[in-house]
Amino acid sequence: MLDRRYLDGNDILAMTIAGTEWLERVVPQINAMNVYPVPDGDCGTNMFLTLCSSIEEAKRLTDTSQASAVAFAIARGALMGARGNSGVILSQIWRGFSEALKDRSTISAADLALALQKAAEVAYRALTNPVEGTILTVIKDAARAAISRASDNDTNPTSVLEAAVLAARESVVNTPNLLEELREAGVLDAGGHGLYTFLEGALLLLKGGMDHQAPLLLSTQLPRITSGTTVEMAYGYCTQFIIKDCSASVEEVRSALEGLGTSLLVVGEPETTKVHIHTLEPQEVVKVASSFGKLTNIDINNMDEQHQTFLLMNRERMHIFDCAVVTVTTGDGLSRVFSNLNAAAVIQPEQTDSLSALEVLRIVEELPCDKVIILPNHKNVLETALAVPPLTKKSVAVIPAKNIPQGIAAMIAFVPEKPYEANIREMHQALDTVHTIEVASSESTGANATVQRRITGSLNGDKRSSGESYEGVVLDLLSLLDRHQTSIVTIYSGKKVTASQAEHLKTKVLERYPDIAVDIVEGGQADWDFIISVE
Amino acid sequence: MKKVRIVTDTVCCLPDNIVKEYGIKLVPLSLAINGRPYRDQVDIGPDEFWKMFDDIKEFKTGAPALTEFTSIFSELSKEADEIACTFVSKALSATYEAACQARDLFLKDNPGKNIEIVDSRTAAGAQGFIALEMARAAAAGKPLKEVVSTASDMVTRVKFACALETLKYLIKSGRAPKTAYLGELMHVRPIIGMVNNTGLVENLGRARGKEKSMERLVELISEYVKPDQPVHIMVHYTNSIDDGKQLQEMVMSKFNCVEYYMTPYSPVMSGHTGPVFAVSFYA
Repeated sequence: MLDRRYLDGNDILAMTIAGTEWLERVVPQINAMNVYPVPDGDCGTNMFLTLCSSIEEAKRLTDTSQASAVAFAIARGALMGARGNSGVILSQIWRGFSEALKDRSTISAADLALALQKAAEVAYRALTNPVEGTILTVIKDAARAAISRASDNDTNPTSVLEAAVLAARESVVNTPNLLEELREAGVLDAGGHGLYTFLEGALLLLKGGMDHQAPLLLSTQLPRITSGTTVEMAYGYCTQFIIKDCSASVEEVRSALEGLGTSLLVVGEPETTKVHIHTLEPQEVVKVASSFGKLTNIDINNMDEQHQTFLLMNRERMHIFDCAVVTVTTGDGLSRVFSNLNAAAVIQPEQTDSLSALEVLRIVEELPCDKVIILPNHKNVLETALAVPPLTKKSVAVIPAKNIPQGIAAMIAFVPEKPYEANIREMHQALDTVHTIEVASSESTGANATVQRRITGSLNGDKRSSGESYEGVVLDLLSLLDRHQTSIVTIYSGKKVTASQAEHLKTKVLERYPDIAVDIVEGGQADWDFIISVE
Repeated sequence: MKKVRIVTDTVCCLPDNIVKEYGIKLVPLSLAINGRPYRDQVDIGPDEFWKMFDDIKEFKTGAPALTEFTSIFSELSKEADEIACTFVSKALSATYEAACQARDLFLKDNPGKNIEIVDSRTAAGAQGFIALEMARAAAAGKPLKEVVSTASDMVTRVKFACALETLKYLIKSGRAPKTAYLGELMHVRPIIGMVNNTGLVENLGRARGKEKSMERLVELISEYVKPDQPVHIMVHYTNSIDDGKQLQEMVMSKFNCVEYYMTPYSPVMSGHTGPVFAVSFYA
């Protein structure tokens, strides 16, 4: 561990190089998790190339001992070489960082924390509508942790950076909770992850070397395709350039271009103004921008092509697997369970009977696999699913899971590495290894205006029971099963019930069956108050 | 000069009496628990390990020290000119590389000797069975070349499968298969193993609950072994010998076992996997 109280320009350069090399090792993985703002799969590459441009610029300095000079050169290189959304934001992070270090030949722990804070501020300012759950949130959280460590009178820059890295890691893991698009795709924010990995690399250098062989990937989940994924949207062109000696301010350029596309970023100074925009009309953007000054470093990429390449890239990554599973569920919690069990796509219809075969077909066609297994998980979806195989050239098998527990049992039996036929066989067999209790409630107003609640339940879709309490109905149905074959009861709680209702039910089941395991999973399904699997 | 002598490492899970009977030498892997170093099965055995388990904050393993190899090579070469070794898969551990370095060092000073090292491409009892068959070939008076070809043949035959209670220890150690289960649904036991000679840990599926995961292990064996086919089986346990016994009963009643052992995981293995039960076999 480097136990020094000050870092100089050489340290900052060495840390930047180490962070960049560390990031380089996971560029493909970072690319693969890239879904926001556009699933073009180039976030890791963009960040890496932006950083390379920074390093190049800094290496051109004749004297790299001054912290401020190195930080300034890194920021300038980042701006000149910024690629993509994440690259441009990164360049603003560096800009804030370098502004905070103005005139410093060395930096202390407190300086480092302040520089990170300034980096976050400047990055936020670059966007007209900063979105949380992205690289912005990660730099903000990292900076906050650094400031708090430094204000604890910690004078070691390494330990300030360590606090920042740990906070960045937590922040990355939290991104899906802040950004709907990430949550839907089941991935973490790619830019945020890239920043975290970069900072970790810099930290490892300060701590005396890379002690594990590869950077930690906080998730290896590929983006999942959901019915909400807007894949048909026109992506247009990612258009980037620099306006030299711009006659207008950054704000003026921004407002002139605002209506022409999305993901607009205009940053820098009048001498070098960097523009990044996703647009359907790049020629129009170029025309408007060139009225402000001479354009250089023009780079226009067709994002539709990028998206196709991205799909192809994921197909290649999935290629080792013979088949993929498409599954249908209502409820976020259930969707997560399926996705954690390696479902490639989870369709979440508003209501199960509103799902069309064409919708299922669209998802099947989109999967990067020629063999697809569908798990309907609902009686009324089964028929819809059975309509799909004749509509496609792909091989499609429907495993007739009629409820969620059967679907999950089949999903548990799925092994991505196994061949299609073997998976179909195993998943079929798994259907009979689990019993299902489904419970719903209804309210009616009685004669003297009292509200009466009625609970109804069924076991495996036929045997029925009804009563006034959840536990009454559930225990009644459980008693129909062979006690010796019951070892795990899982309660999937629905949208309508509270956590304490689920806990209460669990307690009652355990009172009756003290030697079995009872778990609660927040299923979030709308159709049943409780779905219970017994195995 | 006398027979070829056999060397393997402490990952092999062979029972003590067999190790003694065949004069197999075990090189201890290195491990560190909460910063304190141990030699696997020398300074710490399974019982002590599981007593400490809940208090483990940091667990690291490493290849044996080179001197561990060279001292065994020296000792053996007093009575043998030829030594055959097999070690835990080199894709999982630096033991193989260390052994090669130690051999080169040793042979420089002892030019008349011969040492062959075979990558087991596996671990646990699967590796143990390779070492055991090498020892049997050596005991039968086979020369080094034949002992090595016995080993190479065994490498392709042995299989190993393991039901984990949780993946978290394997993930920490960086040895988890990429597609294995990582979710919030409880009691889902990941089943991993080494059945395709890749030298890497493979994802073999998962099962809900202890009973079903034991059934799954039995099913896995039957994918490679016919009901009447003679089979060699080693059942492994970690913190619960009862789990081992339960799995043993299931296995014994289902297959024609011509050789059978039940052994605990060594601390080095347990630290990477956490609580498990497992089976190594070949037909």
